[in-house]
Amino acid sequence: MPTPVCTARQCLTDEATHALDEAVAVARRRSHAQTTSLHAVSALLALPSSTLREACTRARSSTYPPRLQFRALDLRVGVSLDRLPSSKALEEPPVANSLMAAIKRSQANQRRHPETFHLYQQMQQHNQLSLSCVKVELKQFILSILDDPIVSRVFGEAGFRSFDIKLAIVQPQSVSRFSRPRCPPLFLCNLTDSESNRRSFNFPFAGLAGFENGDANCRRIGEVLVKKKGKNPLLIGVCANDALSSFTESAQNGKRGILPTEIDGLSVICFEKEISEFLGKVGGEDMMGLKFKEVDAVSYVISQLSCLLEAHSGKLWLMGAAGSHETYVKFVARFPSIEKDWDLHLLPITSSQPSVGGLYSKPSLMRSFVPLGGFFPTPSELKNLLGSKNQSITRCDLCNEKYEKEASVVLKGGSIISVADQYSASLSSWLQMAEYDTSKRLDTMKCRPQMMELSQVPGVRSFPFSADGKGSSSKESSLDKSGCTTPNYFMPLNLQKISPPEQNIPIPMASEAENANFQPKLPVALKNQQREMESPWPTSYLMCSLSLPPDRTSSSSITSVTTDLGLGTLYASGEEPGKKFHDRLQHFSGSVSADLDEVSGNASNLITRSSCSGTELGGQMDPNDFKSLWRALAEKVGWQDEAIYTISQTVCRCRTGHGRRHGSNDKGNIWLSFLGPDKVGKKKIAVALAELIFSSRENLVSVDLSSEDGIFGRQDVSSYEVKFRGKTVVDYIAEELSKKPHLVMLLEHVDKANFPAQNSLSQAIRTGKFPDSHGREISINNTIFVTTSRVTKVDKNIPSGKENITFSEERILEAKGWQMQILIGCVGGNAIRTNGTNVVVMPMKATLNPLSANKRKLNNTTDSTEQGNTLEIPKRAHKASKSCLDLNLPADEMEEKNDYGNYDGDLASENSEAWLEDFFGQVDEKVIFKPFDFDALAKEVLKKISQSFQNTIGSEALLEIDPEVMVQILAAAWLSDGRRAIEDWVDQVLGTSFAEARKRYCLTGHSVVKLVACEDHIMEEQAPGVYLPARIILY
Amino acid sequence: MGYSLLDAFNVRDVGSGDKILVLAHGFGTDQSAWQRILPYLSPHYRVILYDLVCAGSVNPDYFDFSRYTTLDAYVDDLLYILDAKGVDRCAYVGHSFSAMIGILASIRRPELFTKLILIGASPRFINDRDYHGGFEQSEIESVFSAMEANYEAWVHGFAPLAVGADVPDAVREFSRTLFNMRPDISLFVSQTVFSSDLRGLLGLVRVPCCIIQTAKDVSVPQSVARYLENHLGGQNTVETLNTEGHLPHMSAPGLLVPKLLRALSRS
Repeated sequence: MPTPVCTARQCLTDEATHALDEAVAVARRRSHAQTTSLHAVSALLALPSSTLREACTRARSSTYPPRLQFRALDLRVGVSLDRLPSSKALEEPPVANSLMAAIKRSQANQRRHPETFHLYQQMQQHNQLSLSCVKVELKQFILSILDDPIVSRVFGEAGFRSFDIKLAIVQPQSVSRFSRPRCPPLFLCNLTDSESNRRSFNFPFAGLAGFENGDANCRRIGEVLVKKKGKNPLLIGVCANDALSSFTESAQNGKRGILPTEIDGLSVICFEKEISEFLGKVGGEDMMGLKFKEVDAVSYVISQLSCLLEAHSGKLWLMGAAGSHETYVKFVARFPSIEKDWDLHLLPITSSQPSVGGLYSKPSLMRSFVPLGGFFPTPSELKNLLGSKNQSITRCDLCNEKYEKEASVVLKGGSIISVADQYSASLSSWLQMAEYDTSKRLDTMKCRPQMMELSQVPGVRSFPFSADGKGSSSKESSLDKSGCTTPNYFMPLNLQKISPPEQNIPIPMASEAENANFQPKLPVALKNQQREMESPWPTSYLMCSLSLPPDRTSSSSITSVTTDLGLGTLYASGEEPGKKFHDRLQHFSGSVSADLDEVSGNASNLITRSSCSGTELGGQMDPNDFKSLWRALAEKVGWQDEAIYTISQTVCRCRTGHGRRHGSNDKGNIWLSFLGPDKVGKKKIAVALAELIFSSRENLVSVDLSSEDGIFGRQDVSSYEVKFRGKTVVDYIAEELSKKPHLVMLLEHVDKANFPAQNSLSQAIRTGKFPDSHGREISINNTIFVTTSRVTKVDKNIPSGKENITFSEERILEAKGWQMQILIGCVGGNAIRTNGTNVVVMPMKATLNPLSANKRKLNNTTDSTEQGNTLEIPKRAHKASKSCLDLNLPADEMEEKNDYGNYDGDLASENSEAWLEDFFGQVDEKVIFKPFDFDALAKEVLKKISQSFQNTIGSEALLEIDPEVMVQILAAAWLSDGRRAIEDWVDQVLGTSFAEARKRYCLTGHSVVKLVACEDHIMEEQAPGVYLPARIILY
Repeated sequence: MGYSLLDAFNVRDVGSGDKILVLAHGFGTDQSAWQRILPYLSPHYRVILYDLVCAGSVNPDYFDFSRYTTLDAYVDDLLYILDAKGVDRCAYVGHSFSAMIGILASIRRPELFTKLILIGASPRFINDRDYHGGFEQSEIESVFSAMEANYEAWVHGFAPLAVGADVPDAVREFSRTLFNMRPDISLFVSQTVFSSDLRGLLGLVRVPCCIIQTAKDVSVPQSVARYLENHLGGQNTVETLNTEGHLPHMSAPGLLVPKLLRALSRS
């Protein structure tokens, strides 16, 4: 309800009255129904020799030119005023509540102002001076108006901070915060100087109790208490108990500042002791121990508390503390509905005390950074001084009551019950209650939330002098005051929270100064949550799902026409060139694998690169050079014939000066990309290239752009770690390139290259200069870049052609360097069958018979108990070979994983894909590798092992090989140089172990020798030349 | 126009992408600590960077000694920034001190976070009865007095220790940002950090967390990573980086980035 202007005038000095009249005039001119703070601001700015404008000049941010900023301010004020609804013109638009409240606030401020405090206090005590007699000076008037959130928002939008302005008003001589130079690092001394000046002003009263000790925690507790829902805080955290007790203590001692004004003056009842006594009586046991055992007692207490809360909702608060989340979970498990019944709010407590180190005198020194934090004497101070005496008496009495009785006390009103419980959990809580009193001062306060009213009663009770009308009105204004100092105290944050015009604050409220001030962050937060609910967030997941299917069509749709060629070669299946070459190569090597006829035959009608280069070669190549290179490479990696052929061709072609087709400036650098499986093969070829072309394997630098763990775990990673310390991949590559120009740079998993690496590579392949992350360019003449990629699309076809691969490359890559051991078992018993699902069985005879008990898809018909060599051999349709190696499929067939695994981890894979296509489109040659035939290798190795086994132990016993061991052996064979190494190992290490086993145990025909891996046991000693244990443990 | 907290905290938006990623630096650094990581993330994410109020790059006047007494005030800042930026879902990468802040923020606003990646995180630095946090109370106090006595000397001693690995660039960089902090603020914040104890709260976290820990960290022992994994309430993974130091994003970005990207892609 607006106040008539004449009433308002009575509270003001002449100067201020003049300002008010101006404001009223502004309101009248604009035909507004009321005179608000904004009108006042507008008037104050317009006044000749305006204090406000002058203060603004000093407080303004130095980043903007002053004229502009003032113009912005004027505009802002004008716009805000325009937004107010106009009505029929009044002669004297009455003073709006917000402005009136500002006037009242300034009255209170002035009364407690250090310069006049004693004066007023004396007047009060002796003359019962009514507050309304205090005439507000213009300065105070302005200060209060600046507290109005609408006003501070207007200023904020014009680039002013209202507290800066306030400071400028209060301290005309002081320098503005903004223009103060940045502090030098070590400046504690000059800090104290400026400090002492200001402190004398800021802190007229001695200690600021409210700000110390547990303040932040208490503040948070207070915030919860004033919430509408979930207002009963349950503190959780190791320090929760400390925080609770410090809160109760300060509440009991009447440190008023710690409670939000809305509920200021609540009293506290703590019935921790009573509860433990009560429970202790029932259990007759140590209270800490019983907790949940005394079901009846505990639930009785709980239910009583729930009733109490229900009966007095709104007036009663319950608080508790739990040491850890686990405790709370136990508690909730015991009483599932407790959270709702008690309206609990979990409040994490992180530390018991604000970090007040004994050795450091932070608080007093540092106050200057809160220019207004202590600017107005806080209400808590005042109350402390005046009212601390008689509080303790009533409280103590209450505290000593027994819990059961307290319920009745609560009914009478005006007290808080608090139960606290120990770390050990269970019910610890605190009831708080205050009586609701409607009798007083509804007129000015009615817009306040109910809480506000609540707080007054106990307040009144605790002030001896405030029983009379004047006292209580002073009380009111002190509450007002604390209302505005609270947001100041959070200073920038809260103001900002309130000020953004983003529909967070309901507009009708905004017209009321107090309201806005007293709405804590809550409504804002709620709004936000709502918004979050509304806006559908799944969008963020879209990308993921898009990138998932590594589908040929989808990728081609992304690419442009120019990349189509690249696409063809890139995604053409590995078998394609193989087929073309098949005949040609037959006479080159006898070892062409039989896999070729399993080619899935998905014909791509794009021209394959192999035929292209084949025709191209004709005139350009130096045949001798090519042949020697080809032979040398084939010696190293015998199984990749076609790939080697292509590589040799390309290298020779490039080195004789016929480099990249597209390259305008051929600088002698060669770019190859090795696509497809066979990681080790690629690496070996890269090593061989370094040896053959640059004469030393030292000239190979290998970088794994994906940094996946390599075969046999750490081996790669550790070197990676040392290399990359403190560097990015790009910088590492650049550094190596600048060290040695003649070099093979092996970049593995180029498809996983991160963004900077992609950029650098693209630039390098185009310009012949490799840029590092600082933009320095390193020439890459004479460097051979070998990039490798598994390109999942190619992969996909391979398993489809060979569904029944026993040992996939992925499986081999996962091999670990375990220690191996030999176990002796007995045939016929269940031992074999329970030995796990993956058993490789070696029969005595040269032909391998499946004996294994594990019948998965294929072996259903096999009679596993029958021992011997007459078993039916299940045939695999795809196996042409007659020597039926039946290595059962590994339990966790990983086809799916293989296909998609690489993709899952890919971020924004469209981008990478597009880049990759582009990149591959520019390289000199794309070489498709075919999968390494591990099954054939396995067959060979098994043959060898079986030979060795028969030689040493004889054909009677049985050997079972753990698939893990098999994988390990295959991996080692793959890595080793030549087959010899593995054969040597079988002969020497394995053979010796067999012999020893035979010596130690009497092996009969019924014995089963098991070769298993000791998982989690890394091999101690490595056999020479091959990554297998030098010794096998015997049991 | 005008002043805003976003300016005060130097909030920056980098990169493109639908998903939002928040990078929050730890004690003694500022957002420049992420510069070696950033190029790898910005193509895929909209990355939000900001400076903690205690960072040297923030006007020290904003540091309110009566406000920043507990981590909660920093959480308020973070949530404010996210709200002001209109972020409704994001992944959060927090280092050390900011990891704590992230944990608390996710307790308060679980719907805001898809994933927390905690680098060098610890719920409590000081040893307790059956908890090994890595520091004794007495050690901490001597650190505090060393900081107070001669901040510069302390910085030069502490930086190489924290960085761990022999990476002069990172040490130089960390020393710079650490020294940029005003000594009193630096001391005050470290007191806040060391007096914090999040152990009881970890169970309240519902957001999946990825804890990235280096093999040797002067501030955070290995056991702490396991403790976090076991006690955080969501689905957690621990990634160990095969390097040393408390600041892998400065000293070993090459190692950290793949782990980071992998962890992020899982969210």
